[in-house]
Amino acid sequence: MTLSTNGTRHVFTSMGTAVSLAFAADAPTGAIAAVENVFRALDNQFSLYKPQSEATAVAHGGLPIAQASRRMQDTFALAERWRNATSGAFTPHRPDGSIDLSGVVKAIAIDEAGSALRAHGGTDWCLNAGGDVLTSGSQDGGMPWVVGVVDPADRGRLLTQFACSTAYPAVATSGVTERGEHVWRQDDADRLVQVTVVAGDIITADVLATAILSGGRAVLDRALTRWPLEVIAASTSGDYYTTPAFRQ
Amino acid sequence: MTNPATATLTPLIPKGTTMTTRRNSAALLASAGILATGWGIGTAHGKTLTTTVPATATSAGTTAGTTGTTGTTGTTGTTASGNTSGAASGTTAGETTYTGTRQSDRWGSLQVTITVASGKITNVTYTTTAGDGKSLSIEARAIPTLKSEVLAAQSAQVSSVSGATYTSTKYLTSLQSAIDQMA
Repeated sequence: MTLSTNGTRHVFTSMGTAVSLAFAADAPTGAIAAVENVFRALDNQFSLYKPQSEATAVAHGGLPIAQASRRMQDTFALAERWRNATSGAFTPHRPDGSIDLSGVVKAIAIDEAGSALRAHGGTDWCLNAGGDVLTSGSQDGGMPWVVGVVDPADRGRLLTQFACSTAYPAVATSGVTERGEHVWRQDDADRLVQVTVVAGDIITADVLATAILSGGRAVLDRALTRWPLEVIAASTSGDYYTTPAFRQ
Repeated sequence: MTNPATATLTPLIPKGTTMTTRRNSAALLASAGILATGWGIGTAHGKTLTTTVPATATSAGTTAGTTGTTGTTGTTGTTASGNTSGAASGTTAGETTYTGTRQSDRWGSLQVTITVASGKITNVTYTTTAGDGKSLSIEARAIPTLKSEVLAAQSAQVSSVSGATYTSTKYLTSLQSAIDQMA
């Protein structure tokens, strides 16, 4: 793999995964630290792997949402809106009823990091957190940021790619293999094993990738009539479902 | 609900598709129905078309594109009067359009219009009102695609990799890690 390697790249760990931040040119002063701060703050508050986090208190410690912080309430409300918008295909609740906002927190972090980058004057960058990608502007030389999609049948290879644009800057993928079956399924009849959604913002892309993976083709079809998206979904049978951007 | 807007979708069924038999046209529509399973569009138009197509299909099968327009127009009346699930309208230059009933569910409503000429579907349009009032093009519908038809990645161009969430450990063996190391 060869790349245009001008510019700056910075990698750090947060939320149990790696976050990669690439700039087409030099990173604006303070931009990298601002991005790290966004991830750190959200991780500290929302991680269910941290016993002292507020999210842990909500999920297991008896802290009612109504008495939680404003930020926790807003995030829960956002997740509830997405649950309604996807007819429950996306849900902030685990099967046991406990609240799990992990499904939106990483996307919120990416989204806020994008705002922080813009606030620091960053115009041309590509931010990847655990396989979910938000881009702005273009690579060095004016080429669009191109996001490769992992082949679910061979994770060492790329299945396809998408050249990001102003209208479609965000790419998110949900799958069943990397962290096990981390998405709660609604039906097993027509199983999708990996869903990549390209959207106008990273929260929409991430939530819908999760919802479509969970809800299958019925949710995919409905999502495409409601949001402007490009999608490629892989099923257990090896079939793919694609929107035009992913077809030759 | 807000004002419906019209979008063009080409083609729900590929342009130039020749429907030679009832069974084939139904099958094509069944696959096209993937786009809107929840609204039963495939079913509605399956009915419309299976009453419409055979008259022109015989010749369309062998002389695609040259079927006389009178045949197409001639079936219009049959369809319009005999089918309660849809309505035929407009017969311009040998083209006949058929509009399905408006289908609604909690996501909004959808109404599909197809244009048939010489036994072929030449265009499909629809109007929709999604819950948030956005109207979208079904250009973005997802259709079954062979892996060989999927746009191949040009790895030289790839600047980032999207995949199911990897753990910190898995990151070290991921393609993204390789990209980050090259930078």
